[in-house]
Amino acid sequence: MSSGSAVVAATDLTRVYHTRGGDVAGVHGATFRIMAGQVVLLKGASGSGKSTLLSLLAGLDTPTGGELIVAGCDLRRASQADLTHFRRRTVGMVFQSFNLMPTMTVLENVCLPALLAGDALPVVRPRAMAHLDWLGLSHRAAHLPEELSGGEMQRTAIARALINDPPVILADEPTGNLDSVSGQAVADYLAELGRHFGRTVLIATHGALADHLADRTLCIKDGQMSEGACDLS
Amino acid sequence: MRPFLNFARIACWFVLRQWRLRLWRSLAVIVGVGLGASVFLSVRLAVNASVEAFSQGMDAFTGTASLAVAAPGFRVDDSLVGRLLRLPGVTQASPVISAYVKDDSGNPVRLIGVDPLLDRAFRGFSIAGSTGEAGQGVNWMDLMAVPGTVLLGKPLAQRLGVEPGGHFTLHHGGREASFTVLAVLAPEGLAGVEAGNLAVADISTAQEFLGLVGKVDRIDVKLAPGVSADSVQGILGPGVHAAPPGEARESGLAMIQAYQLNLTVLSFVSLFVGMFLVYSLVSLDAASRRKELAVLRSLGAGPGTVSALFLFQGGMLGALGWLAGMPVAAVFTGWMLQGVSSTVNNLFVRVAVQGASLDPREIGLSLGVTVAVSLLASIGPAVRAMRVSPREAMSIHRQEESHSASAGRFWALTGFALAASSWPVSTLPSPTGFPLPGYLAIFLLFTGLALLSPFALRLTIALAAPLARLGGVPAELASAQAGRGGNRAAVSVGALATAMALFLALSTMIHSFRASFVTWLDQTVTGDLFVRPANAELNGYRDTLPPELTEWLAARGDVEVVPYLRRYLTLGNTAYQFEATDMPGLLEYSRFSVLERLPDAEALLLSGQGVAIAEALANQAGLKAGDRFQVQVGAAEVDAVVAMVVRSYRTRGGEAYYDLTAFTALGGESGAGGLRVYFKDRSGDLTAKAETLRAQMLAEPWGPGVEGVPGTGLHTLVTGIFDETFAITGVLLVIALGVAALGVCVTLTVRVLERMRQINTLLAVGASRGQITAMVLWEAVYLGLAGEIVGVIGGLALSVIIIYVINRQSFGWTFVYLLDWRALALSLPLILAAVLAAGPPACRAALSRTPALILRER
Repeated sequence: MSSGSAVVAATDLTRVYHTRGGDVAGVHGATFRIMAGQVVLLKGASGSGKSTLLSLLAGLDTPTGGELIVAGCDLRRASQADLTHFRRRTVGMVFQSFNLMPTMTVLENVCLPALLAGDALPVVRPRAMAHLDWLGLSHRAAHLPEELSGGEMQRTAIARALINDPPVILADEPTGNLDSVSGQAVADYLAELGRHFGRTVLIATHGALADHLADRTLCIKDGQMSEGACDLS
Repeated sequence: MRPFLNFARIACWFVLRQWRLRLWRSLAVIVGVGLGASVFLSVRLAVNASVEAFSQGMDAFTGTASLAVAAPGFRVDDSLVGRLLRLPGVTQASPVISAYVKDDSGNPVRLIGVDPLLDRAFRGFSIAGSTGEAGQGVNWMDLMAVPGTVLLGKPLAQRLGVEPGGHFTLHHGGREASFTVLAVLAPEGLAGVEAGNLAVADISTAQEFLGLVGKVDRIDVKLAPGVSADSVQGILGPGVHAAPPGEARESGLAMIQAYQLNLTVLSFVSLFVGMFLVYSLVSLDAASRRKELAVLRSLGAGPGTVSALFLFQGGMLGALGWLAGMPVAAVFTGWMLQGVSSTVNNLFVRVAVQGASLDPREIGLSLGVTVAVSLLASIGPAVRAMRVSPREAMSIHRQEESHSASAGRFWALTGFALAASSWPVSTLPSPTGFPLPGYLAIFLLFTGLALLSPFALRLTIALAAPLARLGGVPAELASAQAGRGGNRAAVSVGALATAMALFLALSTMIHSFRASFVTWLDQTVTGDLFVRPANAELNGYRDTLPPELTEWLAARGDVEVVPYLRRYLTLGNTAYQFEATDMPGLLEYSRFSVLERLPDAEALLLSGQGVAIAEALANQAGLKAGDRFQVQVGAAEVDAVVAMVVRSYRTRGGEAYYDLTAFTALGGESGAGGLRVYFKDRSGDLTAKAETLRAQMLAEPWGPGVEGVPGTGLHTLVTGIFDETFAITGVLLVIALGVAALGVCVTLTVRVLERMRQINTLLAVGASRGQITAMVLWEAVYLGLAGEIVGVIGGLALSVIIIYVINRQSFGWTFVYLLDWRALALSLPLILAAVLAAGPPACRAALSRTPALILRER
């Protein structure tokens, strides 16, 4: 992915949920582009539609309107099999609640997406260890998630997101469950992914920990997007 | 290969490690499945041992004959051998005679008489220790030339403690003779008969000892290629038939295999109940690990991979359960071998079982069935798991499975429709000897009950509302929880209901059968003393009593005797017993339990114009009152009207009762194959009088050739056999109930663990540990009550299908339906005990940690 080309291109992107109380728009008419290697903050208050937008970008959910192309994949028209392949190879997800598999060790958690993608464990293991080493977790490789601190869990999640070498990293409130020191460390690692490793990083947050690390900031309010300063009220 | 390896790794990380975290619950499910698998395998191995013993013995005895010439129920003249050999199409013919005689200890010994020269073409036998050609080192002519010489099977030689050249004594029909052991047979060929408990003698030696000079059981024949049996039939007299020798083998095997099918279905019940356990655990994982599933999906796992993880879990539970069940199966097999072979001996055919062999096919079948059942139980949770949206990975809060009310109604209605259709399905015509519609009906009934379980649980809670008010807050909280328990709570209700339905249905079946059996015994099998030739049962009642016995009894003047002759015959493909009996005497002292009759039935029976037939014979031969019953019995051609169809449980094929005087007048034999003896003076202790008479009789010179059983002794003996026959059923039921109780234990613990936060919130706001315990126990009671209600309804329906459909299709007989009130009364405390026993582990799980710790964890 060369720097300067759009990795994410959303045009009039819409996701409407049908509920008993009527239709609810999680994202409504969002149009934006994100270039390769950019670190972008997606800011908005709770319930503003950040997670919905991230779900769409990660191929976890499908748009009900508009166009969404991520790393060349048309997510509006992708089949379930296409979306599964997309999640394996194109995006790496970092969740607010870490979402590590509790029965697997740190190393196994990191290797998991690569195994799901069909890579052989002997090939994956050194790669995983390299990521853990970079994140300062190599000494925790054999530990179960319940034995880790919050910061360590989130760094494990970052290693897991990187294992298949995806061009896009999506982080949903990655510092939301962490103290400020751990949160800052996690934010720094995510920013470094864009700055030094050329990944496109989109961080959804309503905090300020990563403000100074971002190339640009997108705001979302009531499902509608804007660029620049955000009103988080 | 790599995708498979990767999947195996992920499955181990995801599934097996989860078991380690929930060790006791996983073990409980594995034990439950293991019990089911062990019962299934051990029952089949035990019955197979009987099948093998029977078929090996029959094969060894039948040899390579193309035809067997015999007179069913009688013997044939050995002069027929020469006439047969003169027929152009007959290449070989060899006479055979066989009877059970007794050794000095009174144990039965099978004595087989053959012509050693003619027989070489039919049956192989060689001498132990010799090599190469059979008979090496032994002068075969001695067997013919030296009277009283025999070849012994090795087990018999060891039992008698004799070696070649040694002597031993045999007894039969009041005679005794000393025999010399010519050699010991190698364990092959003919030595396979009776598992080697046999003595082979020259035919004339055997005939002389048995008192049957000139008579043989059958003549084995080999035909030239292209020659049909019809060419032989022409020279045979009335009542003598030439038929392929495998017929007896096939009919015997068919009987044992029908029994095997019934026991297999019964043993499958524990596996079926184990299926609920597997469903319960896999379903729990599918529900409680939704977030992990969503994460897996978000990381690139396809729906197929996710569902495969749950199928893997089910399959592994099945495989490990099966593995755990193998040592148990080894113990069960040893125990069942005795019970099953004794039942086969009592009900069907004589078998000499030595031990069960570990048949790889049976082991593979049990593994396959166990894994298949477990996989089947995992399909539902696997399908639900694959529907988990990857979007749920974004959610901070735990997502719950949604239960749609309309889906609940749909499944309840489907369940009702399936259960209701079981009766019409059961009445569909069935293939001979295989009650397929009956089993299909049972499957529909159980599936219907399982689908009705959620509805039954809600109904129980609604009906038990007054009870909940009595139980206070814990009971009301429990009723709310049980009602919201969804499928997993209902599954436990389904498991309990299945086990309870079987318990009630089979108890009712056994209770009804026993009551009808005892009534039949009391009414029809009357007599103060039953007298018959020694080993009469084993020898098919073909020997007659010494005439001196009848004279001796008549001279006493204090008894009346009712003589009878029994012959094992076939009518079409139906094997049955023909009994010519002193009809006036029988009708005076006994009463038939009549199912169907002509108005003048008694007159027809007394005049020899009518015959009474057992229900089993009527069903299998398609006969009813008023039909003609025509049969050749030896020289007598019986042609009578079916005057009565009566209940009888004496033989599986049924019996036909005909007047002895009329039978003799038609040219039939006149001797007695057995006697029922009645004291004229009915006062005093009739049993003691019968014992005295028996002792006096046995002291007579002809006494050793007969055996006598007092009426009360016979009743005790046959009811003992009956109870022994159904002992296996009882054990299988208890195991099924045990597996169901394990299911409740697992479900209850799981349900408590799922609500840990809620339970600890209750503790935090002031609930006492006692109230929490009471709440858990109340929930167990609700599950138990719902299981009882569904189980009782299902059990009653099932008992009707078993008694009126399966039983009739399998055995040809029915019995009077009699609800087992004792079992019904016992079922509620039993089920409550099972569910309350499941309570303490669940309570311990609920109260194991401090509320603060639990509440902080989230």
